[in-house]
Amino acid sequence: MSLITLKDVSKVYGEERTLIKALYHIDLKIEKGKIITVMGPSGSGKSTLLNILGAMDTPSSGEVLVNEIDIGKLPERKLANYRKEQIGFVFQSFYLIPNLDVLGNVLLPKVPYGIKDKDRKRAQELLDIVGLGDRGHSKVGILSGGESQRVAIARALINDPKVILADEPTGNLDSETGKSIIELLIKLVEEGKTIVIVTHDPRIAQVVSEHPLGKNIWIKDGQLSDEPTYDMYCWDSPT
Amino acid sequence: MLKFSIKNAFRKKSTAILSSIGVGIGLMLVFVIGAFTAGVTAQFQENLSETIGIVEILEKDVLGRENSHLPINFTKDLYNTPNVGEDILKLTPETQAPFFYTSNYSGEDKLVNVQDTLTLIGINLTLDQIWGGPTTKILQGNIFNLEKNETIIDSRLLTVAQFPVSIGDNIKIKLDLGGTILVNLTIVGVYQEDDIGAPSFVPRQYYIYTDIQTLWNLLDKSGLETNTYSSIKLRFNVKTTQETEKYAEEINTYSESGGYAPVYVTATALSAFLESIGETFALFDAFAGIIGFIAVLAGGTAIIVTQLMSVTTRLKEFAILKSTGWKNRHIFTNVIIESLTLGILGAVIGLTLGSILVLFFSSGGSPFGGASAIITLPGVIEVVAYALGLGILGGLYPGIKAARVRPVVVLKGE
Repeated sequence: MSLITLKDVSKVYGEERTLIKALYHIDLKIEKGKIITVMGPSGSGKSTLLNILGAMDTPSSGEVLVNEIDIGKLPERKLANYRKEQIGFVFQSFYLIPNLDVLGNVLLPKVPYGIKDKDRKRAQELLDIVGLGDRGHSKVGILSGGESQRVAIARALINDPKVILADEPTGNLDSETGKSIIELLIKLVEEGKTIVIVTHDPRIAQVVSEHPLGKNIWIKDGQLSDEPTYDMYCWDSPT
Repeated sequence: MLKFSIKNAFRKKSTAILSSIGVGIGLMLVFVIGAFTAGVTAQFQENLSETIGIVEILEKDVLGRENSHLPINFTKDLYNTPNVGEDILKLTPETQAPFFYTSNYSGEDKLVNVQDTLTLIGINLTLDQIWGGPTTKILQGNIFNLEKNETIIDSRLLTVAQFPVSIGDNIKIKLDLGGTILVNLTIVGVYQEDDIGAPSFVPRQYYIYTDIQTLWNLLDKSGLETNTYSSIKLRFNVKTTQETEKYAEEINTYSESGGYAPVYVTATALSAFLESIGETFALFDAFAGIIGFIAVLAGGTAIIVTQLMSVTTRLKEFAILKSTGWKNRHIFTNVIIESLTLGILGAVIGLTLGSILVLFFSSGGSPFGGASAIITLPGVIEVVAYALGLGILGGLYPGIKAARVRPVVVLKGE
């Protein structure tokens, strides 16, 4: 059974003359415990797809079903709950809060709800998992790119979400560091998480495709494909 | 959330502190103005309550007490005034020497301001004792002896007069009455007199008292008509200015009808005069309130600008917070707490600086000469309320702006 189902989802921006079809009649099923890469050129609709999956954006038409509930029709308050309980976001630019230490950043999603001892314990466990167990009280400003992304991943996991949505998670990292981040994401899938990665990086696609739980999909002009077309290989360089 | 938001408020320390200082200066002004208003009002109320029930009588149509002449037997006429006489609790007559010649006392010696006056008053010792006048408030020394050219002086002169004012000193007053005579009195006592509480540049009237016969004797030397009173004060057992005014009206009506002929008088309820000053105070109060409000508004703008700058540079951060499950109200609350923190810090700064200023201004050594400013709990509450109000108002628009962030728009292209 799929965890998230997209039925005939379209997302358009702009007015009639300047209409941009970011997503166009997309159907997609994301099964629990799988890792999926979404690849495609810039402007193909990758990030729009990710935002719709994460309830950061709503489709212009179609349904986004999570546990048979169409999240596209939920009010903002319930969408926030959905993001809190179901989704963990990882971004290319990490977006750590500079005046908080590592532990503070990991605990950020818990702040409005009150940070409890069990949350602190969990945050420390997550830092151990991402290999930063001894850096909890370090300022984030002194962390390397790879370490910052690990903190961002720990932050994405603090609410124990079912799905991790990663937008170019290795985009700002060197290849070695990027590889370690992918290995970390694979490890999370093996522990039962569902992960969707939007990426330009063919190495990620390769690693994912070689994994038994992995699957690659391609997107171009707002439409999905299971196989890349020729011109999909002629991508622009990653941003 | 609270700890997080407070910490966030100081992410840009210098901007946050400068903004709080801006608010603090505004609140300091409100606090100081409030303290002065409270002090003056308290002093005024005290003076007002002391004067309720007192009617002062002067000769009609004369300019100033020193030109008023009421015959000695006039006190008896007052007791015979219909609807008044039987209600007089006590009275005290005074004779006042002209006061406009005392500003340049004895050559170089002087008071604080040239407009300050030192006035010699002659009083009936027995009646003053009944009345509860200056002879009943001796702080140092003794009451003057009758017809011994002795005087008791205002306690304020001990700190402001730039001429000898110790007990045993001789005080010389130049009476400039067409011919100049020098009054030479020995200081035998100091009576308690509270300052009016206004800044030192506001002219003061200082009174020194001697017995009425001594003053008459001195005035005789100047060729003035003597053996008359300048003024007579009557005290009635009433609790309001309106009741006091009724007695004054009775006296005035009786005088107009020729009841005291050939003498005609003007009776005034002293508290009515003070109440009219009170109306001026109310205007001053309102004006001060407007100045304070403008100052606070300027301070509030500092919070809005700081928060707006802060929010604008952190839009991506709010987008991330939303992506992790923060709701709009969480983000709004976060910004409001941040601006409240700046406002409260401003209140602390304002109250601290304001208290220092109030203590300085109300101390005798300040250029304001012990202005009557008092720190009151309502004054402190007002400042804190302003700070909280500013915090909320200052954070309102930035908070809404932050809460309305659409992550998908802000993070586009990442």
